Amino acid sequence: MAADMRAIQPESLYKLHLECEERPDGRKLDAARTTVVTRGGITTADGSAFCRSGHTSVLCGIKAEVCTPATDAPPDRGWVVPNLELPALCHHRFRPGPPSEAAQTASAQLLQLLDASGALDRTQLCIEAGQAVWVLYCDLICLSHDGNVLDVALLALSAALTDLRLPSAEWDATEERLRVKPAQRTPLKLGPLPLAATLAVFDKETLVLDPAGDEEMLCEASVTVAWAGDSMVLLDKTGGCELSLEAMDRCIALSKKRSLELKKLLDCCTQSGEVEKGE
Amino acid sequence: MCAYMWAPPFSAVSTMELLSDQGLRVDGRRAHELRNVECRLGVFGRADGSAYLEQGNTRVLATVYGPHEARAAQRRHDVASINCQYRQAVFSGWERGRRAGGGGDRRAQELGALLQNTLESVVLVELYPRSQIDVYVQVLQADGGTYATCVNAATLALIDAGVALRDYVCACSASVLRDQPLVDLNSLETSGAPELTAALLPRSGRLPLLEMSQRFHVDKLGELLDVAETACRDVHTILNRAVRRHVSARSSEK
Amino acid sequence: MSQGSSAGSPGEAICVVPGDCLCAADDKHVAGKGTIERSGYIYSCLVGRVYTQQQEDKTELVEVRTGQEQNIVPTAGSVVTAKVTYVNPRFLRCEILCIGETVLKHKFRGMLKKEDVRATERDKVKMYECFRPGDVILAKVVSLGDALSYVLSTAENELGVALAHSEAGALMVPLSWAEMRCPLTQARELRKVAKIPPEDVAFRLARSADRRPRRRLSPGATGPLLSIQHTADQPEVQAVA
Repeated sequence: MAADMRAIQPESLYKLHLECEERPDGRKLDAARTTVVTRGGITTADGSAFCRSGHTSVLCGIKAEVCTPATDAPPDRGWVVPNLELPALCHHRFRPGPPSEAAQTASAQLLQLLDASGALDRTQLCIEAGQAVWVLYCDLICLSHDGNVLDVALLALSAALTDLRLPSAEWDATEERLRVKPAQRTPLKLGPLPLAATLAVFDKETLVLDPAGDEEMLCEASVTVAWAGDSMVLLDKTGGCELSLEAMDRCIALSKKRSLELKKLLDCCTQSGEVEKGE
Repeated sequence: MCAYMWAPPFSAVSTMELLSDQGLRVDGRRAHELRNVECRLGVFGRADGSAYLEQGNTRVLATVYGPHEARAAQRRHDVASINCQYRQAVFSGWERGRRAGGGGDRRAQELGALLQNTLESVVLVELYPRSQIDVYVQVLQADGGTYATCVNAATLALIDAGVALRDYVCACSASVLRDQPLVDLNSLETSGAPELTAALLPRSGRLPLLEMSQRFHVDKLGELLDVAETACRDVHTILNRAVRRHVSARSSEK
Repeated sequence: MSQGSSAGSPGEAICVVPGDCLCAADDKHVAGKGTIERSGYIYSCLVGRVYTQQQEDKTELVEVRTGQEQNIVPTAGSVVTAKVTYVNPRFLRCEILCIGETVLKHKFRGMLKKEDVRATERDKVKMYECFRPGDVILAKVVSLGDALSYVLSTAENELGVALAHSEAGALMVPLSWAEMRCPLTQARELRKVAKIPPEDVAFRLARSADRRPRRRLSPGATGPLLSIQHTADQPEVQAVA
């Protein structure tokens, strides 16, 4: 049975699938899994989004707090602190304990992507320069891991930022205190949000978009490209086998196409405010 | 980085407002009524068993992996060991819970151990020697009665995973306010009144768990336990219906 | 075993849940899989359908089956498929991937000692001439082991190496019970080979690429991947059916 081969000789079975230009779940090599985005599910958070791609799902919740900027920090800029967790419940290979290297790397990459894309101007988060600024704690929890968590996490983060509504706050200079009205809320003004597409590489030439969990384990290398509007904000190929320039060009083209699909999905979601499903 | 100044306030409510003279609570329920329950089994295909449960605004996700080979430290030669972890999302509560959520703090570890004791009374561990069953519970939104919802979600996830159980474990929170017993507290009521969490095995009528906070008068305890037991049986009816619906939907798909 | 009958007509989905009382535990009814006997009654401990089977001694075995893959653990006497991870002159360690027909989601650890490799000349076995890391073997579980892993045995003709890659990286063809040959370099390598029809291996590799329905295993099969027939002790290459 194909199930036995998957346990005993997964590499051989997968190579046979690739020869037929198909993947074990029936997708074509350049097809991504069905992606669903739901915004605003968590009422205790100021902004939230749940994003699912195949069996990988990530929930993002943003809570806003006010802080005094430290003396060595810029006085008129707020902060965004993304943090991705890969808890033991998302996959049986993860154990309970402190954040793994994968989780910490991914959190750092999310912050880097937000900065590079310029989607969020930090001066928007300033209430009173030097006295009070907003801090956005973006907590992402991976609820189910079946490959390609970074893309899904970035989509959830972007969707949650569009869902975020900050309470109105003003600094009373005479009394030197903060007045916050939690009932009055305004959305953020956002630039082009970063959206990523990951491809797995087999046999140095075959590219596979949106790898599932077992494909991620078997691949020789993986390339992540992130786009914000028309500009590329991240090109990441760490280690693995070498890749020709022509293959790299194909990666970039495929990822651009995928990021346009994701952007369309996110725009529909923002307009309708409901669950959006896309390919 | 910066010093904390403000977080969204949690407004405490006085006991007079929690229960009106007509016997209505803040969310319009009567004293003995449960909150609206929504549950789904098998939400994540990759885990052996999973369940999503909502009781009012409290939302909990439970996942079960196993039975699988136990790690050397936890391996017992004649029975399975159950490993539970309780995690609360940082954005789940109303209070500022910056790093107090997550898995590492003491309250989370205490609740994990409590969940393990509760589930050990109902899982047939003799059938899976040298194995380990991992139960992970993640609180996505907390609005009172959180631990009881976790126990219910864990039961559903174990049933979805096909782990042999003696019975369901159904839990509910209860309290007494101005001599009136209440069930299934939300977060406003929890802050204003003492809380009792009880878990019940419906077929045998036994209580594997009883946890209490603050102070109760001992005269009230008997009445409170009866009310809690009735509420747990109501929870059992709801969970049972959901399980049967899930099984018939699954078999009609085949 | 005679065919079981399920409670209720086949079209109905009569399902029981943990804690449901099925019947009294008297002389006529015996608790089977998925049930537990308590205080004189038989209760269900899974969600599923009730099945009853007539036993030889006129009692009925009451079982509850979920209809899904059950979580199982290796029991003594079951044939397992394992992948070798570590070999040393006294024993080898492996990961158990399948038990009988069921592919496991979580792998177990197994150990095969030098004395359990074959039935004859048990002390003169050279482990490195029988198994190498990466080989897929068929073995029988002897016992649950003491500390770390299940104790396995390949001391039968049908047990041993099922799939092995040569040093050049190609899948090898078995020549006899002790040798395999690499199709690329034609070099021979020593292994303790399991007695299986060689046609079956190539058949399965080819079939898994396309989605046509595959033929069913023959009734005597015990392994998950290959059909095994019990043969005489004389090692001989089986003719392709």
